[in-house]
Amino acid sequence: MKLFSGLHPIALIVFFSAVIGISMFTMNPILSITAIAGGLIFKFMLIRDLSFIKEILCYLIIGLVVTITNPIFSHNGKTVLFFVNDTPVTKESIIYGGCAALMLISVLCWFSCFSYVMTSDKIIYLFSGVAPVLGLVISSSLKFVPAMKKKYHEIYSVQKNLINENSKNLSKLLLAVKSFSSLVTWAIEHTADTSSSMSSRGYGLKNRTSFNLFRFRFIDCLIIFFGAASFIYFIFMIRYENINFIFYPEIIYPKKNIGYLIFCIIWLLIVSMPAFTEIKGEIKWKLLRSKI
Amino acid sequence: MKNRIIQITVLIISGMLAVFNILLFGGKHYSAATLLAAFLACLPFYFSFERQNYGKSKEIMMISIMTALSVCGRIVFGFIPFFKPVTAITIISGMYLGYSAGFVTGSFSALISNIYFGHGPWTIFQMCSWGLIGCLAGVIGKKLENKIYIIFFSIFSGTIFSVIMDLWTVLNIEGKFSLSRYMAVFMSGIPVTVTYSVSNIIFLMLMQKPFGRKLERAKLKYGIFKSK
Repeated sequence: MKLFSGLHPIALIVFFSAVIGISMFTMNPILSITAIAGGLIFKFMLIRDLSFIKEILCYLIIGLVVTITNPIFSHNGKTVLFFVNDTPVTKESIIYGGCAALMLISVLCWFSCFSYVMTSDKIIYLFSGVAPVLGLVISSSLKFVPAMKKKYHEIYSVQKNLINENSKNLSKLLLAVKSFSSLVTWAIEHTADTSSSMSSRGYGLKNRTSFNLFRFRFIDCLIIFFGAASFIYFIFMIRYENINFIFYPEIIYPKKNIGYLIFCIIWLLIVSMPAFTEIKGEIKWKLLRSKI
Repeated sequence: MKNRIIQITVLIISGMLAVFNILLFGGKHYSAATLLAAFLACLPFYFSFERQNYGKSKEIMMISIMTALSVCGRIVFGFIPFFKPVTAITIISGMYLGYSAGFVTGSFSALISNIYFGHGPWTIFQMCSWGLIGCLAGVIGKKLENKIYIIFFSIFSGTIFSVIMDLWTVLNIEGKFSLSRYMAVFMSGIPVTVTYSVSNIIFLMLMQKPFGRKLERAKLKYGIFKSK
């Protein structure tokens, strides 16, 4: 059951650009941690795999590096903790590094969900609406890549055996380049066939439509409205109020007024929505199955 | 046309950086502003490509073959880190098929290979920088067949790729630009930059002649890309 990834591509791209856009602007550990939690649960619901742990480890390393290196480059801040080689290390710069790391991780995390959900067919659909030629370039190169990989391995294994027989000492790189070169020849000749068969089937004529399985439903409308509205509200907030922490010269928390609270609630809803939808679908699936 | 594209790009980059950053956020949030600028910088090239090639199936297929080849190259040369033929193929594509084809090959090989390698904010920067390298190769054109020009251009493109990608790293880590951190990132990235340049030189030296001959032959045989 992949409920959320079954949405219309336009709804998905609006939703993800809202989430990634907002998390790129926030320097607020509370919001960033919420985003990371939502994104990680969503990713786990999508892949259900042990490679998930590797991803978390990778994020932890990135976070540590950013946090530790920030005091080296930034000496702003009021509270000096200690001196290293006569340069001050301040509390503010360490905390700033941590918050920046959280922000970076939340963006990376949502991007990894994005690239999992946005499969090639959705990318092609999105492009072909706006730019049919570029959409065709994407779709045909996506089609060519696996075919080429297969052909390359065929050529490569033949070349390797030939060289072994003649007991020449060619390096792996030269062998790869040689095989790649004959792949090019094959590919160019292959193109000509593809394009002439396309023209003979009427490519480029007017009033041609393409087939896709995406249907625009009411829920997609809701998601687009929700994503766009929260992004606009966020830009309004960041312009006239303040939801970000201020770090230098000392840490100032954002004012806890009603606008900030509303924004926090909206943000919680928006980042937990994909994970929530997936979990709901999973529960429904389990319940229905046990009845049978 | 070439001049107009370059002018529009520069205008859009500078204008958007200023307007988006200062009016809306009071001079903060460089990372998102540069991301937007990089995205907008790609758009004029896409529009001109779209207008030039509508309905020309042979040209479109040729460019998608070039894109697929560079993506495939990025995958099959996976056994050596950072040693990839993507830039070389983009340069060749720009040289022989024209600057707009070079831009599309470069930027789409970033977009498509990241379907395999994972998307991130860097996708847009890669699209922009590889695209610009391809476009530049197209503008310089056949002069690049000279060996000395090839070496210079390989080093130049390896460096410019690192410069743009390091800019991304700094802006995303810190949220604003600081020269000391940029220098630190750039210095620590010098081995990678050297690998990029060396791989560009090697791949261009090995592939430019046979690849170029094959492309010229295909151009003559099927009567495509005549305007160049």
